[in-house]
Amino acid sequence: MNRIDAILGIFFILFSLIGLIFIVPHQTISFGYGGGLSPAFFPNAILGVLGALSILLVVSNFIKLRNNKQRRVFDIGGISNFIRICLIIFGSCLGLYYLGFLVVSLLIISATMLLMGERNWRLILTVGIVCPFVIYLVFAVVLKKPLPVGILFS
Amino acid sequence: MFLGTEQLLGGLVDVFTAGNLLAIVLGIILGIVVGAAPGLNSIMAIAIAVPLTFYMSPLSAIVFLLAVNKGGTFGGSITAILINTPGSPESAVTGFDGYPLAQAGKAEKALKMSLYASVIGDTFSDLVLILVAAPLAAVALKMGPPEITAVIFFSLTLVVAMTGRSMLTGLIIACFGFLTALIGTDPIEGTSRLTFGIQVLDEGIPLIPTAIGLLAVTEIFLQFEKKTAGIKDDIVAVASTDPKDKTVSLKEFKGASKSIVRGSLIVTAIGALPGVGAIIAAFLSYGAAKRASKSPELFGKGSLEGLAAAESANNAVIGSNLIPLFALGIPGNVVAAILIGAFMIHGVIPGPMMFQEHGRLIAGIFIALLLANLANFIINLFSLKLFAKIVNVPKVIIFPIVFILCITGSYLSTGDLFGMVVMGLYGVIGYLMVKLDLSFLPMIIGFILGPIFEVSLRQTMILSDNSLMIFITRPISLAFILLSVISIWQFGVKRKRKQAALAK
Repeated sequence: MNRIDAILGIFFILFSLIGLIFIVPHQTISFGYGGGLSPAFFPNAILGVLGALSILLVVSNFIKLRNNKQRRVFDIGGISNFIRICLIIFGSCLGLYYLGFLVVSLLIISATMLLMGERNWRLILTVGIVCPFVIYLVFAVVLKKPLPVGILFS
Repeated sequence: MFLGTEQLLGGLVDVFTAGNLLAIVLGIILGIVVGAAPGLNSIMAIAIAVPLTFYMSPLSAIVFLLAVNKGGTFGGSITAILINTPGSPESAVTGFDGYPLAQAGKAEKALKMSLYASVIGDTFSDLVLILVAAPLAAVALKMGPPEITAVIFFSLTLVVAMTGRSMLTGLIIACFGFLTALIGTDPIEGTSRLTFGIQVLDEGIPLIPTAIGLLAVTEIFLQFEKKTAGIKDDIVAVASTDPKDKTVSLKEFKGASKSIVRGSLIVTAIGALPGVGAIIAAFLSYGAAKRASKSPELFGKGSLEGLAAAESANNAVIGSNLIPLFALGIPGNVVAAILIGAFMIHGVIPGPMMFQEHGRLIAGIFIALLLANLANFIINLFSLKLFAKIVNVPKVIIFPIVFILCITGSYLSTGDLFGMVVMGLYGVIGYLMVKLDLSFLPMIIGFILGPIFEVSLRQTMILSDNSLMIFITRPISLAFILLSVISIWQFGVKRKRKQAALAK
């Protein structure tokens, strides 16, 4: 038990409250076919259970918090890594939309290899060109499943 | 209900086609290659391989994925033995004795013993699966929605209770997974639910990108972080030149055979329970082998008995974990959860009805499971040295390639960028969960079992006119409700007491 659990508990209490009050009532429609439970029953029930469990988690941590040494989850380096990761992921999505699979794959491979400390440009370019080309060949040419070409090239 | 001669013969004919045999061989090779790559494991191998199966027949697809799992599990043992970097937690037990053997220059001996134990354990559990699944499915077919609801509830309590560092956090994570599975079209009334008017969400959150995100992308992020922190790749120990150190003698095999049999027996029985994963199985088998051994002092220092016990257990779980999937449609572990998705992609709903509706397919899968074990043995026996070299491939090359494969798989699973967005989102969620020391297994199980639970409970409520008494008046459902209460007590309350005692 630790502070992380307490924060997690508070997060899920808020999450379930927002869900119960603002989201479920507006995001479920019921026509009442055939009796039984309505479409809103399970979202409400799960959010209710989630909230109750989160309260338990917070309470149990609040009691024990003072006795424990806390582990640091994220330092400055960790946060910058997390931001980099998010940028890579969502940059890839956008890149695929605009530039297509082959160009973006080359960029992603080069970027991740560079960030992982590789400085051999010959290796970076070889992996960056050969790997996307082989994957493209397998899926788009052999299996006839088109991969995104990007709106700039289509 | 048992598979008839016609179905068995049909299955046999189906398996012995060039395409399906190739699927087995390629699956094993892909599994070993991915499993033996440092930082990757069999679950990632399957997550990456699922998109490849979109274009296969149902039999080829399932057989391919099962072969990937078998190959990947053994591949994980290669890294555990050679560089003490297990691809999966259960392979850690393999490293206890495998790595000291490799350090002593006996890596080839350790790998061979590991191979023998793996294939024996795996074959044993597959045979049990073949013998047990059909009769169990026959019983399951007699169950109605109340019984199915109670069984799923029991499975959920088992899975959630045995994963993660505390039952409370496990339950919270499972609830969150369940909640995300509710997004989409309501299964009974057909109305939109929690979609915020976004059309692409009407079909719900797709399983494959979710699994790829949580299982593969999370690991890529973690490895990426390690590399940027400057942590170097592991180095393989130099091998001995003595020929005796490269083979397993008959005497050594006989010495370890009891451990193999014991491990296979224990784990096949326990592994059939949903949620009781390979990790517990491997530790149980290892502990039992140590207690029964004439030389327990060698355990942890390079004991072939210990290595055989861990490996037979690791692999015996593969077959036994499929028992609840085939007989009841309930995933026993993450691999089975991904397999459910693969079955569904090909229009097959796992569970007892599968034996009636797709008997020939099941017969084919059963035969292919045994053939895959043979292929795993032969391929590894002749290519062990080659596969062992994969361990030396730098992570800086492996992970960017795997990342591109994940992107491709997610894109192909939905046919648009939505799959990729889901993959990315779940990759970030998985990364945060690992950082917060939370297991994402309850989330996947909640995501998969949740909708099945919802449908069966709502059907039950329609049947009973919204009375919960139906669960108590029917003996099977009552039995499973009682078992659920016991499991919550057993794993929740007792664990809390144990933790309190340890804290004192």
